[in-house]
Amino acid sequence: MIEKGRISSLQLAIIMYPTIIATAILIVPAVTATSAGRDMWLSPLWGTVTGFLSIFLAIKLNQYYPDKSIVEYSSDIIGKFFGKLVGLGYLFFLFHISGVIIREYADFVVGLFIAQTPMPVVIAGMIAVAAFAVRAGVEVIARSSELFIPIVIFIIFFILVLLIPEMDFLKIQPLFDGGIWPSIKGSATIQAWYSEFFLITFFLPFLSDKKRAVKWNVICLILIAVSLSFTNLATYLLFGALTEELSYPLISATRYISVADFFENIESVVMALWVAGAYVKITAFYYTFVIGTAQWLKLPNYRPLVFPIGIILVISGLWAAQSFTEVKDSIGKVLPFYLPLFGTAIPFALLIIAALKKKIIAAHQSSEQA
Amino acid sequence: MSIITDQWKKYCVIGGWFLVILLSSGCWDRVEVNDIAFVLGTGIDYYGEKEIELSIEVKLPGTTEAGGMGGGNGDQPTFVQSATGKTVAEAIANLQMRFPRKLFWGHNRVIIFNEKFVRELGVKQELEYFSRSPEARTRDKVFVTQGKAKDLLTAVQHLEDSTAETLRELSGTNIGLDVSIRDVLLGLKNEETEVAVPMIAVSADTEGTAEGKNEIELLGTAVFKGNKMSDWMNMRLTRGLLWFKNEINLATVTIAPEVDDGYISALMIDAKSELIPEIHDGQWKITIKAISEDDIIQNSTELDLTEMDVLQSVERQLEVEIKNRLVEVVDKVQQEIKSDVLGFNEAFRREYPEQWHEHKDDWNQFFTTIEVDYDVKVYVRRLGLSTGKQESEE
Amino acid sequence: MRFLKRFLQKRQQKKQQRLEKQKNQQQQMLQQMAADIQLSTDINENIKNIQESFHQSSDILFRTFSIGSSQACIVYVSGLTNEDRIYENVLTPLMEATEEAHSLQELIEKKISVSEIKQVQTFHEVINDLAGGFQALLLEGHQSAIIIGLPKWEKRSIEEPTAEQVVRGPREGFTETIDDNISMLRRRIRSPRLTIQMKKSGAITNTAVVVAYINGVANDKLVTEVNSRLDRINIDGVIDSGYIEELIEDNPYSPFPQVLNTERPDVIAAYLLEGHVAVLVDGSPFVMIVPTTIYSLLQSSEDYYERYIIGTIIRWMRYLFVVIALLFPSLYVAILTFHQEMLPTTLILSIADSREMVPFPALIEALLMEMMFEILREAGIRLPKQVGQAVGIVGALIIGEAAVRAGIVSAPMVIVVAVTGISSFAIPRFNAGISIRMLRFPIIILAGSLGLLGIMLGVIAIVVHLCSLRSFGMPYLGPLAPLQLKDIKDVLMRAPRWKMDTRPHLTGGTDRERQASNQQPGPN
Repeated sequence: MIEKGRISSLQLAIIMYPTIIATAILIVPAVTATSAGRDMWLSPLWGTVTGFLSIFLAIKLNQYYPDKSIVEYSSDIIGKFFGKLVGLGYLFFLFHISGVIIREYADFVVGLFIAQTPMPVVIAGMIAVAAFAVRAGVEVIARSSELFIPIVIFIIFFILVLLIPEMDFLKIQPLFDGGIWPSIKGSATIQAWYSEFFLITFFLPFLSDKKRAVKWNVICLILIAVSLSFTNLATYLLFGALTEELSYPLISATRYISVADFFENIESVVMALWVAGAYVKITAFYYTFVIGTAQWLKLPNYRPLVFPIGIILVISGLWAAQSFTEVKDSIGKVLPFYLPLFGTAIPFALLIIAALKKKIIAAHQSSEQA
Repeated sequence: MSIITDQWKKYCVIGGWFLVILLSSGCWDRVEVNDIAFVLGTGIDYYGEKEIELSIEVKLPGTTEAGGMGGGNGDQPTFVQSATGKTVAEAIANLQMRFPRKLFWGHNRVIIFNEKFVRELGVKQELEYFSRSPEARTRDKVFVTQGKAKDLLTAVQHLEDSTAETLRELSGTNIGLDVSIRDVLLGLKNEETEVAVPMIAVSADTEGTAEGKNEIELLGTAVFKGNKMSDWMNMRLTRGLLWFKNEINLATVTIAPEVDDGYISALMIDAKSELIPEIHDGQWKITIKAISEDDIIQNSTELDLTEMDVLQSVERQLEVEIKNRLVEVVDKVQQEIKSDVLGFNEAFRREYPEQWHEHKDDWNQFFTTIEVDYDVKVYVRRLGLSTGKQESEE
Repeated sequence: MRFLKRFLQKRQQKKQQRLEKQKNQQQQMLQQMAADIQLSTDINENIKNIQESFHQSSDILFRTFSIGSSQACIVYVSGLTNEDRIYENVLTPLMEATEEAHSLQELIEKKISVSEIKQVQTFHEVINDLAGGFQALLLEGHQSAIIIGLPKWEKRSIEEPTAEQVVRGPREGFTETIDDNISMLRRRIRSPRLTIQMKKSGAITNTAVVVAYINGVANDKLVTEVNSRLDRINIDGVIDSGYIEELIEDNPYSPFPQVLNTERPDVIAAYLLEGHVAVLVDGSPFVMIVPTTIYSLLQSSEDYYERYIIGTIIRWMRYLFVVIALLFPSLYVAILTFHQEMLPTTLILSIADSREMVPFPALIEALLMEMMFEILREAGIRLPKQVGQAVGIVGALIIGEAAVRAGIVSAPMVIVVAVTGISSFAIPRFNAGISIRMLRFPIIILAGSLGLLGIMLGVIAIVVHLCSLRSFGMPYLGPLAPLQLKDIKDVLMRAPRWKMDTRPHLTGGTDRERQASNQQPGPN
């Protein structure tokens, strides 16, 4: 196999948690507040439906082809030409979505903290570090996220706890003022993030304990939903109807933290720690893109691809959007359809074909025997 | 065998990457702490229909103890500059022209509006700048002053180094309201309680102060209707308003018992209040439930408070006193100000969203018709270190 | 794409060719060694040959005498031999012997009262043993020689190790003599399972290198791996264990030590009991332990001798010190030049005031002071003990105070540098401390160019590097990454003795159980 390292299901879940939550936690509160308003804390829970579907599809397809990723088994399912085409589609998807993610990271860091630093430097710095990890293989990615995940969980927890004195717990009443529909509408954007769970299709072949993959990924998904729900709740309790006007509600919330007039203005620290989460996310996408490309080209080793693809990703990050408005616009309008297309729709179609094929072959064999 | 093995190549590439990053990283955002002028407080004054005058209080370098340069004594550690402009951003740009150091808003703590300014132009467009800027924070305290904001910033106080610090400490004492930019912006959203901002002025009483020093005093509360200030309340009413906002803390209540000439003062140690809305047969009613635990801190009457029934009657009288204060506030708000700063709006929205929706648009008219009920409870818990009473002079 | 594939294949081929070449060379050398000259029956010829091969060195002594009527000669290096015992146990009985025509076997059995004795045939063996401090007895008419082991040389007595002092715990330290070191280990682990395997390393120095482990406790694979790595070494000389360390590491480009060095036999014994393998090198008081993790570099033996609650708290503080030693100056630079809002207003204002007269940017100021600190530290080690302390104090006080007064650096920076320096010394292993101190410089530069983002990118790079490191196949950050919940008891805390029932999973061999469980003490 192209990757010699093996990771456990727990480690996969540890990679996936920051992979999904890193960018979601920044932008989701603002986007959901627009449509869900007071009930925004419920939206992340509705969105999990897509997440469960993505996990189910990835694992089911992996059961048919245990050693292959979607780039490889698509050829087995729908023939070489169309399979390669689907694989190419996924590569473009990964390429584009990595660009968007890198852009989100850079926009956040540059926009809020180091306005005059050129974006290429900020992106190249991150890609260099990520390339270092991608070259080292999946084991190193898993281990480094094992070390960073306490940080990511810690900052979420920390922000929420420190803000409790500032929260007005009556703000979310009345519940379901406009019925349940606004909160479901709010989940439309969030489910785009959950469909990123399909990324595990590239990691599943490297698992050492596949039996526990379902369990850990589902736990991971639930934890993500709970974390997002709590952040949404906290930001609404703090900012109320103002939430939808904020670019990054969570950061505005950290800017509001003040403990004993000493411990305040800590958003830079939160940013720095968040970068650890962004690193895991970017590395995960970077790695799958590299692995996917190597599998599509049927290379024996993926390492020579790491640096060329790194340079491509820097450029794609710079080209992904013109402005923050465009990033936010695409998150609100394009990604809710675009991500689930690759995260659930295409895998769903593939799974049906694969299942049918298997049945036909089985029927064929039994008829031959008879 | 060549010296440059694959391993070496790999490390050269990685080293090269880092070198490129480090070399290309000039120091774009690097600002030395000595090239920064720290803005501590901001004042916004009326300057004609279309323009504002922005004043800033800036820290003078070398005036803290740690500077060790001997400065400080008698020297004013801050100075005030102002400039005009169509917007805050423009005024700041105009101000920056006068500063060799970069103006830095990260340590700004207060924003003071001139009364005329908020009555005529409102606050929203100015505060918008502060909520958008990555440097300023929405936690900054907002004040309204009767005079010019610039004069207030220029005033020198005895205890604190700067007006900004004085104001920040003052808002922390919970004597008046404690309002941040977030609270104001949230109040401007149409479904929320109307904005109320503490009002301050340079104290006219200069007796006992050193020459050139002026203390700052809380005058009361500026009450807004929408974006603009419409009326104000004095300190007595402000204390009552705090009950409705559940921000009352360490208040002293003094009563004059009927039986005697003297006074009894009680200090509230713990006070809680709650608004309970009710709608019965289309009759809107709201109950303010106020509970406080008090210590007796002064007793100049002949009453013996160690007796249960005396104490209970004192408790009843304290309740009446507090209730009167609340009635005064409600009367003022419902009859004169006609702007719902009391939070009835939110209370009804939470409990009766459907009925509330019907009156949402003309709420400030409608809310004046709501009947208010008072449920005040006072518990005297302690009598202080001495439990004595005044001996009658016979 | 085909091009890419071909390119990869070619690379693979080249690598294989290179490996094969190396193998061939090694085999040739082995064959050469096997073909060696036999000793001659003529004793004079043998003496002449020995003289020649030592190039007439003056410290090689030849004492000729006769056993009965036949001629004999004892050869030895004067400085490495216990001459009193040669006289007592070899020369006297042989010279007093009257019978003729002894066989060698008879001589060994009846006349020479020395316990370490052997018979050799080749000339090569004779001179090697002579160089190694043995004595050779040559006899007229015999084609073989008797090698006698009566070595004696000047050695340092056992002292307390200066670099790893403890308040509570054994005070003895290893010395330069490998026999003493082995004896110290044996005295601590009195079990036949303690296995000591000796080999020679260094083509010229012929240094003894010993692999020690506890059979069954250490993983067999690990022992094989250590042996094969040691066998691969082919250099002229081994002067200190550092030579060996550099040649058996997993990643030679890493700034982090992948082998643990210690002078303390109690530490070695404890690690052996956890299934690690020790490598002792003659002439060096530093014994190496493999594999090692970053956590063992941050642990002190005292953690285990003190109460476990204290041990746990001290461990946590030590982890904090590492963070301070690595990041404190860079955080200061980043906050001062990028994130001025982070400090409370009064603090940032007073720092700004103290920097008012300083001509340098904070970044340069930090680099300058850190450099100054490193100079003082390095000078403090090199200077004679009596002067060293004075220089340390003088340097710190005078330079710090004068620099602040002269307005070259600000007082807060002096505090930052001092705190950083002191916390880096709180790291128990000197070599771990020094690599962390050196990594500080690139991070300061990153902090000066990108602020906290730069620091974080630097930290991520270090973490990724640490994650990719392995020490003899064991992950360097284990058991934390990859997570081994059962082993975390000895990393994130120091579990009480009665809770450490199993050996670490990553190093242990077949014998996992460490002690009987349920040993929690308490009143009966």
